[in-house]
Amino acid sequence: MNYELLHALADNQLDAETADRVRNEMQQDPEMASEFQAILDLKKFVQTHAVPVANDALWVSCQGRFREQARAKRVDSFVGRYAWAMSATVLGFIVVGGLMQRNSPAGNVESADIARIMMTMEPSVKAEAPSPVLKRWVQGAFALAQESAASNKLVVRYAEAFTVEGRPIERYFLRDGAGKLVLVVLPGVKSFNGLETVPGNSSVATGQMGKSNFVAWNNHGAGFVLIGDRKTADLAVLAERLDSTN
Amino acid sequence: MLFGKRNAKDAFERQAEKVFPSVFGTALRLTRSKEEAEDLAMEAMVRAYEAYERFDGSNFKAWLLRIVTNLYINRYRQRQRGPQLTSLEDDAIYEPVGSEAEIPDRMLFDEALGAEVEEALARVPVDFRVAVVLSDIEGLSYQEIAEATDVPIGTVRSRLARGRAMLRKALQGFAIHQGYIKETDTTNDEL
Repeated sequence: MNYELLHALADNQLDAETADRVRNEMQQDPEMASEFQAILDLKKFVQTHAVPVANDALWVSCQGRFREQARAKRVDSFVGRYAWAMSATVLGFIVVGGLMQRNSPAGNVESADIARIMMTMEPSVKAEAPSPVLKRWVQGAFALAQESAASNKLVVRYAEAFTVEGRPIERYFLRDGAGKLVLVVLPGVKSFNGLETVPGNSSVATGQMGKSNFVAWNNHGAGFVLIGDRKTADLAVLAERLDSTN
Repeated sequence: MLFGKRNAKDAFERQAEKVFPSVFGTALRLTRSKEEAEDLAMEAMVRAYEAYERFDGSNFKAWLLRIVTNLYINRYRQRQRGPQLTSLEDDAIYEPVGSEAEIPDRMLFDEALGAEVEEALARVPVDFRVAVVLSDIEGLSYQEIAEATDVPIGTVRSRLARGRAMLRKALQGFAIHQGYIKETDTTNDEL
């Protein structure tokens, strides 16, 4: 007797041909039929007594977990779908901000910036001739300021134009009877921050760079820095004379 | 698309709510601990929820019970019982029954299920018990049980025959008293 076939028949898990064969065998074997009935009785007994178990509280907890999962998945999906766009937006802000910073020189210059600009010995781009407008003004200023603080004519040795950190700069190397001077013109600069004012002359600020003094002032929509190895007062007088030539 | 997914999730909840008692009952009968059964059932439901898009639509209850059973086999049984091996040829393998009445969780278990049948089921080794529970209590086909337990159908047949024989032996006193089993039916112990 194949008991496994009897169990499979009781479970309706046999194909029709095999099921018929087992039923025919049972008709000829009372013991087999009795065993088959015992299997059916046991199945019925278990089905009657072992019932599904309700657990409403656990089901409610499961529903809570489903909602958490759904929420987490929505967030993941959104981030996954639009991560490129968010990254591109942030990158765009950075690039645009950088370009604006680069192409729009600030109207203010800090004292530390002055030192860095003045100390830049090598032009960051090929030197060019100063802009015609400023060049004319400088030439006129020097021509009219016949007398320097040392009662000598101020001479322009040479000039150059270049950019430092995106900021256009024109630099004039000067000389008079008291020595060499450097005049730096910063187009677009409207004020200098962090510098001291010269006593009795509120339009000129002053500072020190290494052992040299410098004075700074604004005019013609540009900032001017005059540096030389001489007293601040002398530089201020010279600056005032240069500025008054306009 | 969004509404489609939402509808699918709603459909999952509707179906899952109907079969959840079977899921929890199976977890309870496998772990025989209310706390572990709740943990197992919850884990299975969450996994099913996540995997619902891959459900083939055939038999939702069988699919859920397959997840519960697989989870139990992979996670709980190996952890709790260690490398213990059971052999289909070894009828003498039974889970310990003497100390179980002393386990607090066991009391909760008995309160939740019919004590006599569950006590008898508890005496059936886990491999055979899984087959009996999935077939006789949950009504799964042999093919579905084979998929749930990751064994061939022939093994399912064998485990069912042996598991029922063990269950009958464990139940004989109560079943005879209740009239479900005739006294002469209990002679097939060689099963």
